[in-house]
Amino acid sequence: MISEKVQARPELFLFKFVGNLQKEPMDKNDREYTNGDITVYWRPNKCVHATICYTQLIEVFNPRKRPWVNMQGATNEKIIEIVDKCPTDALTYCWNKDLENPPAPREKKETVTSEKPVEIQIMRDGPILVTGKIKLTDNDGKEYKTYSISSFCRCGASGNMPFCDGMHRKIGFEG
Amino acid sequence: MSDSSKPYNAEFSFKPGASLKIKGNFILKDSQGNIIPTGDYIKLCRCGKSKSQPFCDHSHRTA
Repeated sequence: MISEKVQARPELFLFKFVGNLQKEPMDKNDREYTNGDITVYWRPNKCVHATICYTQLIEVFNPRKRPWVNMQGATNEKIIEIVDKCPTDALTYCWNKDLENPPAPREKKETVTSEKPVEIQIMRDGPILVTGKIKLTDNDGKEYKTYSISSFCRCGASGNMPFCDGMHRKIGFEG
Repeated sequence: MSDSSKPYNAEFSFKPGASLKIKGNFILKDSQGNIIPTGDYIKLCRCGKSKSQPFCDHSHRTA
């Protein structure tokens, strides 16, 4: 019901265009979900499968359901709290009231400095989430390109070793 | 432990089918966010079969 109201508001269509100019170009797999108050943006190609969203708020972020984001599943505050925990820009949000005058991009991601120790976070039933400057090589000495955040497979089933590709969920990995 | 002459703070290396070896300046946290005290060299399980998660216990060899 709420989403019908939103779609009937022409200014939101206008923003969609303006907003996309401001942000990165949308990928064909990118999605937007709104409850009338806030809009959550999903960019799957940015996801490192940290699993924070669905392990902490399955009522909203449920990868087994379609659509996988249910904006009616929790309060705005709770949704924002979890979106802010996403370690990459895979999940971001915007208040709909700000859509016409979008605020400056918020400083969501912590800047990685060369002095900071690398943080290695074990995700429950999920990957090894690594934040910081690292060098990654295999046993042949081949160096792999890494970014400030990477996630490594812990379940043994990834099709993109050594990185996580989300398979831990499909095989029901526990650990 | 941090060496500012290097463009990275920790070295990660792996061999297909074996553990993830990590050396350098890092902090390890469990799934609750608690710091797990370690030295500056650890081996983490990549096969999912270790009995001492998140560390490697060489279960991948018998798998």
